[in-house]
Amino acid sequence: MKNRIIFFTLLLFLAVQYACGPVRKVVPLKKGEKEVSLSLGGPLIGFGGSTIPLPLSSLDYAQGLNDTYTLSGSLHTTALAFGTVQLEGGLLRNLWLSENKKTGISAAPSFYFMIDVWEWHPKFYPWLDLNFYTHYGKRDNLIYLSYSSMFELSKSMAFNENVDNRYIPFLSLGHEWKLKKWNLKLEMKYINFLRSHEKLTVDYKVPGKNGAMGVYLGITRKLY
Amino acid sequence: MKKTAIISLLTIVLLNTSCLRLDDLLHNNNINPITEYKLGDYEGEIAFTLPDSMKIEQDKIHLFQILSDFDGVAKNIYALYLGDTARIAIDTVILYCHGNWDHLDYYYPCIQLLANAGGKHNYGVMSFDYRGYGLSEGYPTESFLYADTDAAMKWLKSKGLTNDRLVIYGFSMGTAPATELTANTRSMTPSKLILEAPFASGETLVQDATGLALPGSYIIDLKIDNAQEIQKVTQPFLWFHGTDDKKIRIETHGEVVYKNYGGTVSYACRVPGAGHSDIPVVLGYDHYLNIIDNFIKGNLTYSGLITED
Repeated sequence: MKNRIIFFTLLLFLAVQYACGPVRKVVPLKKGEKEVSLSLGGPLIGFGGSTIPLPLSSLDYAQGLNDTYTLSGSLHTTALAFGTVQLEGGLLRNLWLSENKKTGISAAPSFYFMIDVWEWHPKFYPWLDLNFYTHYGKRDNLIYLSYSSMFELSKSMAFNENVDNRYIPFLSLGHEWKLKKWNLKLEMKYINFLRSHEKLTVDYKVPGKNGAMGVYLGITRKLY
Repeated sequence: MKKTAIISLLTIVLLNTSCLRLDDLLHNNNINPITEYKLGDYEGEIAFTLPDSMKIEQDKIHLFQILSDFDGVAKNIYALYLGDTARIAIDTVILYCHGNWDHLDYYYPCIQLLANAGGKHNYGVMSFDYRGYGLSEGYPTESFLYADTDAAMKWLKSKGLTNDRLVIYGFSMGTAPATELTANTRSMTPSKLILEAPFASGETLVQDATGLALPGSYIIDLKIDNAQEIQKVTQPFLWFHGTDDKKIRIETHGEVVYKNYGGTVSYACRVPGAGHSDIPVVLGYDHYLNIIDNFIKGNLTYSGLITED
């Protein structure tokens, strides 16, 4: 069954690539601060008797426009390898910050823009992240929970079939280890958890009948 | 900063130049490679097991090679004919386009079963391995699937088969050449079309996997579009689909193909509880064969199907 596994695994791989961004940026930067990140990770699949995450990749950049707003952008390198330019952009800001500035709630209206180099079909997906985060310990490590809402704007699929999946939510639970010049991030995502995966072509490895579960790693270089 | 930028740029350029597509991984040919065709004696994975009473006598089994030529790329592909080749000029023949798995040995029970429709050897049944499948030379592509199916038609025509006695049957991936060559005549024009578990298009396949309204071109080049091609088909059409098919979903694939059929005589056989590859088993061999036989003879009634349409 090797080829079928590869084909449908890659379909799954790409499905989540198109439907799901890299690890979240949840804490706004200060004015002038810049970061470059590499995200790697993907949905959990069965492989060789084990359950492993597939490696998706993206290059991410974030810059503090001022002390309130942080601009972020990503280039999805796996999609690019398939000839689809997939860009992500967002504007992050705190909605609430505790007095000691350790805990906060932030939001990031964001978008995906994709276009393939084969037939030049564009797609646009708006989405919104709502994040709760808290710093702890001597190193100010970070733990966070994000609720993301992505929206399918197209009314129809192939052959004018109705889109029955206009709202695509994600839940992310992440942890960031802070080093001197680098940050390391581990994030779990529960993708599209309102939709049953039983009728999808691919075999999602997730407890229950809904959505897909992913594990992502991020490494960030602080440029400040 | 410079280093990071250079590494990032190089990564982007390298990835962009690779331009991966899933198409090359689509074909599941020779998952269990063979060195010779064993057909009824094959001990590897097969579609399903038939009772001895449905097995075909050795003298009615003809395995041979035919030449398939597409744009000057000619390859020898293996073909199988069950029946009396001397009677092709007078018999009705079912041309079975198999699915995307292994080779003729795997599908031999399906081919044998069809040779029992309306009684043993009532119809001649031909099938073949597409390029790259089984011991057929070359490698599979969408264009080659059509060319290889046309090569089988050419061979049948050379033996005296006429259009009115040709019935084409496609299963899963084989529904693409079956639909394409019924819609767009090449060497012969089939008089009837049977599709089992047809898929609508490559794009639907992508959208079924992602759950998003993504263009198929984001991932694959596949231009197979049964749902569009079947609009040109006016010959009588019989469609089988399992309601529990998780590979090619009945709702997004089969129903769309059936709905788009361009003719006036169509029969839908939605098989409750059947998956992708077990329709004859779930339906029961006798019931399945009765439906096929009655359809070919023009005697099929809606009450003879699982659900009326």
